[in-house]
Amino acid sequence: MLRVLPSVARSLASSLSVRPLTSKAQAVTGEIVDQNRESRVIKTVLGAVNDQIEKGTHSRLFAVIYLHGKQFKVTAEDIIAVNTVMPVGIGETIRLNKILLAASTDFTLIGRPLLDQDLVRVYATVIERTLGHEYRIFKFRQRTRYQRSYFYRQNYTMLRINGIEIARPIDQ
Amino acid sequence: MVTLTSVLAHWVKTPANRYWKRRRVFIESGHFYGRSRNCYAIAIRRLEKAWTNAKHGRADLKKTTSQTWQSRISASTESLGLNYFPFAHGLAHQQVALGKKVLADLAWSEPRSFRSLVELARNDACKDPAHIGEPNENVILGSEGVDK
Amino acid sequence: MLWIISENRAECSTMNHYKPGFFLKEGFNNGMLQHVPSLARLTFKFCKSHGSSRFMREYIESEIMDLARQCPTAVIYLKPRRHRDPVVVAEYINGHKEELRCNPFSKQELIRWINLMTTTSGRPSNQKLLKYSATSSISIQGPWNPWVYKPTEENLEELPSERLSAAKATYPTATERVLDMVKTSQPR
Repeated sequence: MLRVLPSVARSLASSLSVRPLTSKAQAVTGEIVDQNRESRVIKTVLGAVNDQIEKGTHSRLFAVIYLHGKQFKVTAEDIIAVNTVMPVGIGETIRLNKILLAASTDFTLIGRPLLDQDLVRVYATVIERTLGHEYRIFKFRQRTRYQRSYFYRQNYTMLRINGIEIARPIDQ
Repeated sequence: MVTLTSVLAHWVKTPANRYWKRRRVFIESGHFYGRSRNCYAIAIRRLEKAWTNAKHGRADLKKTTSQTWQSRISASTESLGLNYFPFAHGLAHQQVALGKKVLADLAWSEPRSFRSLVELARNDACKDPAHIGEPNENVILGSEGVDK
Repeated sequence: MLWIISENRAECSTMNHYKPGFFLKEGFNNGMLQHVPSLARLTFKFCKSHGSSRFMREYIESEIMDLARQCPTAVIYLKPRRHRDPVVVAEYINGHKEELRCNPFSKQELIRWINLMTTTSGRPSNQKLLKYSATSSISIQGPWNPWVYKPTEENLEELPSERLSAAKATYPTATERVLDMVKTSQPR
């Protein structure tokens, strides 16, 4: 006899068709019949995900990428503006390595904190390098003749996301 | 005639300088109401005030957007039976590094992924004896995403 | 105020230089399969003798061949005329035209400004970027609605039902937890 949480006992009862537990007092102590349940569930769930990945039947993918201190949720054909100057020429394609999350409609892969580099691949093309609008920073103090104004323009690199792909089955 | 060096010649007051000085201000004050649009003395005062306001507004914007993200996340997590702070703490404890901006986006645009994140945090929170809640059995902690 | 990049003459004549902000957008999904450079032609206007065009002349002597190799799709014109300030005019494939007066620039500054002109995609400068990402498919799993997280078995419930109208109780209650603690604790 093992002491398990009531919800675990309830879900076990529903999944394994054990004798239904009616009252709360009974639910506190449940009996685990199937010792291999956890590995069996993992196998079936991962099998269903891997099946989609191998056949390519999953829906459009999206990913959360980490780039220059900021996080972007991207899918294919997106444009993102990154607040930096990248040492990459216009029209060159790069691969974004830091991926925090990748998902489709049916499954979600959550990196802790990052997903494996060989698992998910995100490609992007640099389409533009430009400057943002002009910030004016105006400083002014009353009754003293102090006033200064400074100007600043941010650098932006525009990236087109070419595509997201899951390269291999997960957990292998 | 006095011949000036190029440095001093820059400071000579001519009608042309006066014109361009005013023009630079009027270009920016073109959308103001009343005489602050076309009278220089009023326009420059209004414009300086507008610039300082814009400077403070940029700082405030960062704060308000962050608050907006947090309220959006907490609205979604509370509908799933978990408050914001156990959620954020659970994610941090599970080494999930998603930021507020992305979480707020996922909360309305990708409800299934957001729900899985909430279940992950809830699983973590259930280990705490003070927390009253039920863990979800469908969360699979594989060795895939763990940082080695 | 930095009036380095002068706008079109027509825009300059108006009193107000207010420009609306913009969202990221790129015609014909540029960069999706192949990137099409947006710069069509560059015109260098300069004087052969005047001092204001000195650095422009130096630039043309040393750097312009590299520039031509760098952007092979753009046409580069040299237009000498007498005793006027040096100007670079960039024209883009979407029809935008931008003029840059280069009088106070040194050669190094010229290199940087012209590099900027070759890499931008023909948008009026000094426009405010309102959003840092653009997407055609904003939601892949379907956006949130009030019934997303509701269990579907509630659809079959006949109303009024006792189960749905009952107050939500967190389980176990405080009394039950205390009793549980008493039961599990070892007797002394």
